[in-house]
Amino acid sequence: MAKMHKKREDMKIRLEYFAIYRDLLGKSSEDLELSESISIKDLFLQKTDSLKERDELLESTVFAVNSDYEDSGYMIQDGDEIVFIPPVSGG
Amino acid sequence: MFEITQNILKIEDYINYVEDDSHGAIVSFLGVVRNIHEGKSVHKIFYECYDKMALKQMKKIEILTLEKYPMVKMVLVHRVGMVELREASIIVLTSSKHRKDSYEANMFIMDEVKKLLPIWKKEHHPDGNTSWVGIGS
Repeated sequence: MAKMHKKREDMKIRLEYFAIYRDLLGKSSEDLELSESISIKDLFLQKTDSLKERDELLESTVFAVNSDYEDSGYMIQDGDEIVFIPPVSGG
Repeated sequence: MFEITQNILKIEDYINYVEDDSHGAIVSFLGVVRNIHEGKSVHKIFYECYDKMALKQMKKIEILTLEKYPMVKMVLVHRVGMVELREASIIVLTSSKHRKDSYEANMFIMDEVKKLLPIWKKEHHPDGNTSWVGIGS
């Protein structure tokens, strides 16, 4: 008889990609399920693992959660909308 | 007032928002696309925006500005999409009783725009190449 596991409640989050991140990752958004809270920086490192520019990008990128700036140590919460913000150049 | 638009920007479409019988000064700033950036020729710029966040940050800029310059009226409009040479990408209008507050508030708003708005420029060069401003080379 198969061992029954109680399913953990996953956190559902949304990542939106803009500018260079959309170009490099080839998509404009994705929905993710996380089994535990991780920092935005850890999420960034996971999602950009394949990019040769990753270290350079990390130095110049800041982070947004639900349209407000947050630091890289922010622990992701269920329902968050997260954006990696490369250097802005409005005006 | 503040907004994000894809339309061509013209001061006359917005100046009524800062006109006031008691204001003797109106300062207008237009940021326009120029043909060179860091030694590279540019012939147009695509402006990309995270709209939802940009509007939230514009609201913050408005609050900060009116806290610092409570007697000023202001307009902040950013254009997105493709913007051609000499066309404006941003308009900032400020008005006040005398010119000092209008000048200072206008500069303050642009400084905050440069820091806070999640808007990115993709330069289009005459040779067909493109590059994101501020990111590597």
